[in-house]
Amino acid sequence: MTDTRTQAGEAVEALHGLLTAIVSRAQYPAGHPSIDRADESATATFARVLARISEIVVALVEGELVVNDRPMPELRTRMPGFLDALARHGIECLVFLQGIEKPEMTTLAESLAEAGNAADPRAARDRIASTLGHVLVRFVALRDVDRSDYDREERSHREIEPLVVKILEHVGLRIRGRAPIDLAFVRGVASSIVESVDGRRFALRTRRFDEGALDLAGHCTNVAVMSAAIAREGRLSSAITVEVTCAALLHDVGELLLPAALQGVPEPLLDERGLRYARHHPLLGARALLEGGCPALWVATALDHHRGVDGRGYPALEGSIPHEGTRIVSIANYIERVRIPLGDTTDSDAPEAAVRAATMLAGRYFDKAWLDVAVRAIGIFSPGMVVELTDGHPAMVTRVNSRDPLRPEIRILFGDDAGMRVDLSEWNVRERKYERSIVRLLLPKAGARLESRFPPSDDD
Amino acid sequence: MPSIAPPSDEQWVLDLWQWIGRAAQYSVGHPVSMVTGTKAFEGLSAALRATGSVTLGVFKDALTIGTVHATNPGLRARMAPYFHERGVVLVRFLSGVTLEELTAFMAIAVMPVNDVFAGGGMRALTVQRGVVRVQVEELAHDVLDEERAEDRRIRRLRDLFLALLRGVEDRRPAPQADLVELLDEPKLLARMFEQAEPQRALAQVLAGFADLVAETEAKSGVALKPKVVRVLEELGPEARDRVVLGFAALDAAARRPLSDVLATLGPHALALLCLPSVRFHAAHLDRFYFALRAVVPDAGTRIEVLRKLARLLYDLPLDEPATHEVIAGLAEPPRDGDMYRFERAVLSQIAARIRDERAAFRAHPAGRPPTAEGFEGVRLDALDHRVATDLGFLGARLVDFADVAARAPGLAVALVKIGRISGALGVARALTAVDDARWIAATQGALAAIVRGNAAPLMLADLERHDERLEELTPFLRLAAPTRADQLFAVLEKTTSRKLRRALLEILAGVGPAVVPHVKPRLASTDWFVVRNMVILGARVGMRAHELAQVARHPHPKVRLEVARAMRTMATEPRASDFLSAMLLDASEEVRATAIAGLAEVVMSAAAAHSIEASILDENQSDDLRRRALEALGKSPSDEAAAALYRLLEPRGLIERAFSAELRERAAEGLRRSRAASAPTLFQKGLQSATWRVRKACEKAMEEGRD
Repeated sequence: MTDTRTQAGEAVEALHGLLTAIVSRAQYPAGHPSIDRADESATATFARVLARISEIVVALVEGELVVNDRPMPELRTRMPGFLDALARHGIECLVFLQGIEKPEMTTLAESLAEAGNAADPRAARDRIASTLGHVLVRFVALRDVDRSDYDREERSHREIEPLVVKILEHVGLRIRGRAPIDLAFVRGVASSIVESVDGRRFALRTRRFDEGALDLAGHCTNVAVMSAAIAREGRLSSAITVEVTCAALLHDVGELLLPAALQGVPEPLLDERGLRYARHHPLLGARALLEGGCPALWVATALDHHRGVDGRGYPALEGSIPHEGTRIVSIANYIERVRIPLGDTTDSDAPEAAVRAATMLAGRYFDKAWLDVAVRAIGIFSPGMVVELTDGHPAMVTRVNSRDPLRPEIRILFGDDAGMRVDLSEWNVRERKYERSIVRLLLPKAGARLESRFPPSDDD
Repeated sequence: MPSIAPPSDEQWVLDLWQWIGRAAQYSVGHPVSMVTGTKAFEGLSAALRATGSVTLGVFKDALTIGTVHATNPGLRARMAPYFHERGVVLVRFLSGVTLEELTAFMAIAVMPVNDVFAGGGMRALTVQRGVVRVQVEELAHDVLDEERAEDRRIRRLRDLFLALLRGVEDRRPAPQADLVELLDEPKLLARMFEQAEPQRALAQVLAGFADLVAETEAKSGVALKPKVVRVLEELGPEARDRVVLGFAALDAAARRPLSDVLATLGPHALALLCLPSVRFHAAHLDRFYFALRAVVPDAGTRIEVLRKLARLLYDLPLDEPATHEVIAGLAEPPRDGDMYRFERAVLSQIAARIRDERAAFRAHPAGRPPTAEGFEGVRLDALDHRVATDLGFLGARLVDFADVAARAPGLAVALVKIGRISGALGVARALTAVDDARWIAATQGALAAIVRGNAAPLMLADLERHDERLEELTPFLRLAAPTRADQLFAVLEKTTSRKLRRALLEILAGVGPAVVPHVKPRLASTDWFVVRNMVILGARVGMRAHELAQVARHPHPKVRLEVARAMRTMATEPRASDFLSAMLLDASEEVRATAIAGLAEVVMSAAAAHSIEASILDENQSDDLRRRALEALGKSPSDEAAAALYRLLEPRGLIERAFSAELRERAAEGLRRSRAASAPTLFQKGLQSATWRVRKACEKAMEEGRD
């Protein structure tokens, strides 16, 4: 094993190659062969060095470079251009991992060679962070105290769920009366959800299973919001996203047609007979939607949301696989359901477990491409969840970080910093760790928020 | 080819810019940089000899050399913004500038922007470094006096710290004011401790310092321990590791002052203090656990500290391989007999959870975005059909299917009304596929209602779009055909799809003679393909040869061909052979060939046999056609055909073409094999013929038959 000193020396050699690639862009016009040669040489050098050491960590600590934990003040004069590039783009630390390829090196060098952008100083940094798989970027995130967003998020969430209650009431009545469903009403609510997702003002309600109370509205709202977020992250148009969201809002409408004792009961809590009955809900719901004049995608989603991309699942059908829009809702539905703790627990690793379980089903049950999009869109800890941080503070997740699903933006709820919005990507360059992280999800008490449930429980 | 070299008065400026580039890579004085630097200096010197002084005017996106704008794009787009970013508006080079001065100026020019401004700006830096023949004019900005004062203060505090350390060694009490001033700069003090020598003895140095603080605190009554805590918090990770591991090595007396300070720390602060040791020694934590017992002697508190420490593991960057190693080391479960098993169990539990639950979700770049193809109209239409069909299939498994089937006709009408014909067809398709005996009556009733209902014409009119699922729709179309033949004929007339045409012909043929009234008028259609389809269908639904013969002379060969094929199927039709024999003179080879093949299969009239005979003897016909016509006569079971063959044995003159001999032999062979009742007699007659050529041909045929 090479010692720290040798490692740092070799890392500096690689950095020198990168600096040459950066400087060549200032010296030669775009497309000049020297630039290409410099990129190639830098890639080769990194590959050679990273074959011996697993990673190169370059940190800018108080104006001096620290390479693989070794302070190297001499680089201040030897590689001033590199320091300047990092400082210009607000980068505090770069981590180079094995496997860097030439296109990545080109993007990195191009981004670092850019002049500082006063209008958007984070542009180059964010580009590196979001496009390069083998170069990790750490930086100090901005913090601010702004309660307006918080209020908006809360309001949007509280406004949507009662509307979903109304939709389900309406659909329930129309199914019983065999009358057409008011599609415009459903689309109107879906459009509101898509707007809130576009404005990144969405929040999910953290639910828990309470025996005897069907929280169909809560489930459908969460699934619809998640589906809208996934669709938008997947670059689907607004119109398509609205349709997917409508499909998500009504995907479980078949639950209303099950015997009351089976409605909303999670599968693990059902006996064999109950499970057999409950598994008719996709068919019942889809049939009701078709007879109610709903579009094909809504009907298909109600029918297929428990079927995988391999055609399995229920109801058992041969020769067809779920539609792309349905696949989005399936992912959202699965994660939403699995996140719900079933027992009387106060601790939960459900968010990670849900996504991990979904990941294990990728390619069989879920579309891998859409699952990746889903993780970027809703994260592991989604907006609206209340979490406990490593410093012991409770906080609410306010915004997803599409680069890192475990590090969303949060708002501290109590204490001196109450109301402060913090990006959990905030990096402590000296400690080489994040400032704060999420330890766990904090669950609501059983029976919370009964007022928004549909249909209301008998106790109400 | 035009020169791309810059003007000579720009070249040295370009060299200067290249020098900055090299210097950014290798430092200013590096030999690689100096090659370019020397070149730039020589160019500058030459320019100065000519003009006495040279000024570079700096704009955001332009550079002037003297009064002339630089034309080189590198100078305008790169060098100018570079100096502009550093606040420079003008650089003046005076006569007599030396390479050393220029090098010193370049050393300033390559400094990062922040350093330039922190140093007071380019102008101040050039003056400070004694560069007199390179002058810089810049945007006005103030070098703060406070900054200079701060610099002086820091230097004084460093001296003070060193004096205090010497005092610790000599056991001399520290002046309270000096100590407080130092303790009020925890960050600075932490840096000084980190750099104090020997580095291994940091815990000892800190313990001595803590003792000094304790003494001063005791004397003055002013609480100073919290300030030491702040210093501890400011120590870097390596230093904290040295403190924690070194602390255990101190003897009890030396440890006590620092121990008193550590006792004031809460579990979270202690966890932060210990985190670097856990990271650096994850694979071999025994030494750390040993040290931790010294740092936190109380077992209960120690477990609490470890719990907090475990939580801090969530802060580690999971996307770095080094973290994976740390987590893997920590996740090792305690072994039997492990003296630190309680400590290890706390960390391993959380580390394992992080490894299992979180490591998979490390930050990763955006992958391939999925496509939106499935949302196109055609795909959604197909989805509509599929879902409606699936719902029907699946519905038959439930007890209420009779009700569902009863509602199906209404549903089909509703779907058609909103333009979802695919869905309506799906409903119908599903009903035809239900084979559960319980629901047969219900599905048949529903299908009949759909066929009779308003939806059916539109559903059938839309068939062209459902080419790929025709097979599945066929049962429904068969049901609809008797009632909705007019709609199906209308589709058949218009479709360009071969698949649909074939399917409809099949379905309509299944209806039988009832469709003849639809066929007849269409035989007069101006579209050849309609006529062709009607010929095909007509033959299958029992139309007579003479009814189809009206289009036997249709201008389109494909129509005539279908007529020939149709006639061929009419084996018992007396007049079929007449029409087929007439077609032997058709302009199309394919029609003629089909007619010959047909003649071999139908009952042949005398007129037809004579007509074929004439064709065989017609030397204007191709040899191949003549052979096949002979073959047709041979295959025909008709006596008229056998008689024609016998006639063909007769010689036609003294001198014959070689082909005539071949024809005779084939006629003899055909006669020998013929199924016609009169054929054996005629063949015997040929064997006994007085004409040698006839006799020989028959004998040859008989011999070949024996073989």
